[in-house]
Amino acid sequence: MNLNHNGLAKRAQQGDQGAFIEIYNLYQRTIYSYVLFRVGDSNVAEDLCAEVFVRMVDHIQTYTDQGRPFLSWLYTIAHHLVIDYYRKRKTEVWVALEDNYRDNDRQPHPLLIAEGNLDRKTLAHALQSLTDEQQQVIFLKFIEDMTNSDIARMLNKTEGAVKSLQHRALVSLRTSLQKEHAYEPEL
Amino acid sequence: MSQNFEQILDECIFRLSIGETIDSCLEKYPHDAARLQPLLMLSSGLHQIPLMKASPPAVMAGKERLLARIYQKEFLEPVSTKEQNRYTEQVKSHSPWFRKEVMPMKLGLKIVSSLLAVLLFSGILVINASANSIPGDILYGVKRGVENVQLKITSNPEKIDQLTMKFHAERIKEITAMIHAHRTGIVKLMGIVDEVQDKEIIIDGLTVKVTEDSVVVGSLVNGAEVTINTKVSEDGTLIAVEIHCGDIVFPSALIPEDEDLPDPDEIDTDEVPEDAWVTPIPYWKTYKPTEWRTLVPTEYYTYIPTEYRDLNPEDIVATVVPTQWKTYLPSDLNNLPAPPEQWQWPSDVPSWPSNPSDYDKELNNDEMEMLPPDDVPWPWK
Repeated sequence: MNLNHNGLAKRAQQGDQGAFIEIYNLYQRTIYSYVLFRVGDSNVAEDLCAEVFVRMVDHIQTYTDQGRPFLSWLYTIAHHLVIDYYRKRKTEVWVALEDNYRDNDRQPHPLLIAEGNLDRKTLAHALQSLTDEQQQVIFLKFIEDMTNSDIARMLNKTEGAVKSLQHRALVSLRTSLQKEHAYEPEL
Repeated sequence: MSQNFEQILDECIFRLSIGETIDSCLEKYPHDAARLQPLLMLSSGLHQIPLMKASPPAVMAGKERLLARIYQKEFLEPVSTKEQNRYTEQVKSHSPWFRKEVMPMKLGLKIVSSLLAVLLFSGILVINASANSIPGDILYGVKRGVENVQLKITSNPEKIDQLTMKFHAERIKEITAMIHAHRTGIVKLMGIVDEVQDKEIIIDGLTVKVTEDSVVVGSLVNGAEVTINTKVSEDGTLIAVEIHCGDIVFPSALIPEDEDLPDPDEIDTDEVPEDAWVTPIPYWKTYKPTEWRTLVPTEYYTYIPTEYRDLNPEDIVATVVPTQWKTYLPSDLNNLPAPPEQWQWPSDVPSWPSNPSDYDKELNNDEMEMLPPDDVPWPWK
């Protein structure tokens, strides 16, 4: 993934409306994918994803280029929206979550087709027990197929730290999935 | 030790991503196999999660929300919470209706019902008053909202088309009004491209500049159906912020009704030379006969090849039956190279019109008679 689009942010800050559209066209897919990964519901993900770009317009003047890709700033906005989303529905009981599913959401993850019947929502729920950085590293590495060096840029860390984070993230995710009784790999 | 394991895990994850199996990774690191296996199984599963895309309507809706916010930011001065509070306090202090103790209940009910009647009546007035509003007016949001509601509650496809046309005409009117009022803003235009020029396009008589910052999605050519988010500048210039190009719309008058076209599947593609001109745009007419044969050689001046008009552009490979000159895309119309010398136009066939606008003009009867009959081989092959 080409992460060198920080010039777009500068143009957007100068009021170039075309730059906003370009940013949307460039990053809508990846932000949607990220939000869906975190919340597991395509309706919610579509709504939150649109809100990310509205917030971008609202706060574009607060963005400062600190050497990190502009996309990481968008991820931060998305992350806060996801946190807000979970905070608002904190009182809801997490059950089978069979309501309002789309077909896509019903399909079990290839992750556990062989071993269990995990769907996207189960994974999203299991991810909540990971730290923010652990969730990000899982998403960037396995969903976005980013290299360690790109992930390091995104998270402002060294590649060594990314490997360490990746290890802890996988261990935590596995433990969390086992608690959900959704993941029983044959050992 | 831990750091070493992280390194090994990372290496194995990489190996999995390039197609190696979990077993081969475990064989390579037998001492760490027990720890590696569950993590690699999880990694392998995570790698298989497909990339998900939002539905196209959701992508468009998101973009609409973005544009609406850009527009809002541009035209509405922000009001601080402090100012809002001060205003509310002022209203409270001057308005007896806020003092609960001085308003008897029955009187309150009368007032509420009267207010409802006034609101209903004023709602109708507001909708009517919004009809002539343009972007930047307070009531413009009402106008667009009413339009959206009209579209949403209409199920008849013909009626939807009529409404869409009506709203499209309304956007053109708004742009003209904005230019006269020196108003700036973004308006969404839909229509068919009349002409593509160097740095601008003409759509329904309006000239829209296409700058380096304009985002163009799809193929911007004459006849393309487009949706444009257009910025109206203070000096009245229209600048394309984003252009989405759709299908090419054929001038129906140019499409023959009864022609029996050969089946494209029966074309002997071995006849097509490797350097045959690729004709990506499924227009009915070529504006000049093509260098390579079209399925049916055309007798008129035509502007873009021809018999593939019902195919997707990406499915179109080449014309099959050679014609005299190469064909050109509409965007090349103003920059035509000279015909190759080896393909001299036969002297008994009408020459090309000098004015490009006449290229798609049909020949008159006299000219038609000068064309070679169908059963006579064309002179260049």
